[in-house]
Amino acid sequence: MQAGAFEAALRAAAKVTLGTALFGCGAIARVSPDETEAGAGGRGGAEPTGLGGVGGTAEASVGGASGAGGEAPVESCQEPASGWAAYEPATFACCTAAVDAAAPADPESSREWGFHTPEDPMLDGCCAQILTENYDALWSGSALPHPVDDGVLAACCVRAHGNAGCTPWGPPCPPAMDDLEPVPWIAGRGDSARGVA
Amino acid sequence: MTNEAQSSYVFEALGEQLDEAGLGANLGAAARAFAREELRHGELCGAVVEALGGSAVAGVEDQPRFPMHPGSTRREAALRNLLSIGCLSETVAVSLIGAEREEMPEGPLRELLTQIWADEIGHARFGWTLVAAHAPLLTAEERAQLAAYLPVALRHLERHELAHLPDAHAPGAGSNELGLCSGRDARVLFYATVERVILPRLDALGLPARSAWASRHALRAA
Repeated sequence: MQAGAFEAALRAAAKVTLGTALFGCGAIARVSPDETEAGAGGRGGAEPTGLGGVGGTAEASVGGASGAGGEAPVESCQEPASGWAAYEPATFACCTAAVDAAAPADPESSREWGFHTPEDPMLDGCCAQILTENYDALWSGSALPHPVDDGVLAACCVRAHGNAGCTPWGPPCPPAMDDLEPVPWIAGRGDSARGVA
Repeated sequence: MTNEAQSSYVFEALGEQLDEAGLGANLGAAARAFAREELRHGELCGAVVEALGGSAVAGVEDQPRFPMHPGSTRREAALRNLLSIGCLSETVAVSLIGAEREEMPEGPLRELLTQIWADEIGHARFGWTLVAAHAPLLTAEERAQLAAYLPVALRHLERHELAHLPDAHAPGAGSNELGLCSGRDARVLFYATVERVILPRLDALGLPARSAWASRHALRAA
């Protein structure tokens, strides 16, 4: 393991321990202790419909500004030939408008947004379009290669990663308090591992 | 894959516990969503195994016994499990996956691992945020009980991680492309993560983590 990778990993771990540090999608979680039951005020209140748009173009009108509630502007974006994850300027612009129209004002506390809900392949694809090539910059805290409004970015982060647990290293069951059997081999193996450093 | 299946159950159970713990609204639903993600990503990991020519078929062990910590208040019991899952296990995962990802070349597998890593970050942060918010609100008795749980949780973490990081495992050429790393190196990173990241942060939250770490091997059956 390269020293750079080692230190980068430690920095990433250190950041997640700081609950207020927003440094990337994974940093967003709906965990406020005084979180209310309230849904979102809505940037528009309805999700985009259909997939019939012309690739990468904002097909439908973009009506009033975000947050108005009621009738929502509808954007219909189409997956580019290179796939949702590959940046394509027109698709990116269309997707930004679509997410802005569909997402609630406070996606983290909304019950109507997140974890790919409501089901909408276009919105999922759009968030992949908005996020994928921005990941490294998000996590490193540097300027985004494809800048996007903070609200749209947060909405996609919550939708894609607001909470999740995909992991080959999924957490084991926590121990019970009476799980106190001595395991003497641990000390030796642990010390052995340290010695490698 | 098998880990995901087990972890899915862990998050389902955590969700039930959070529903009753009074730590905030919607937290149980969030944990249950973690569970669904575990299963979905287990399928993705299995697909990678199949793509590489393996057989993604494995038996799943019995569901683990999720501790509800009788004798504790609901919130302290929930904080024990959040601490074990989010602040310990998932924070170590952020570190280990982060290192593997850092060394992977660009490509589909790195993209997959990137998604995994993002999810791990969200998981770990879920635990840290709740523990940081509620630990200061504990009564003296609750805090003492949570402190007493720390060496148990830390020892469990160490046992689990070492069991999954084979000391002798040294992957060959091209292993970085698959996100594999030396088990020995990973152990070093595991200890560094605990000692340089987790323990200081827990201490800063008023939980005696360094002393708990020092005493973890002194535990004896009750």
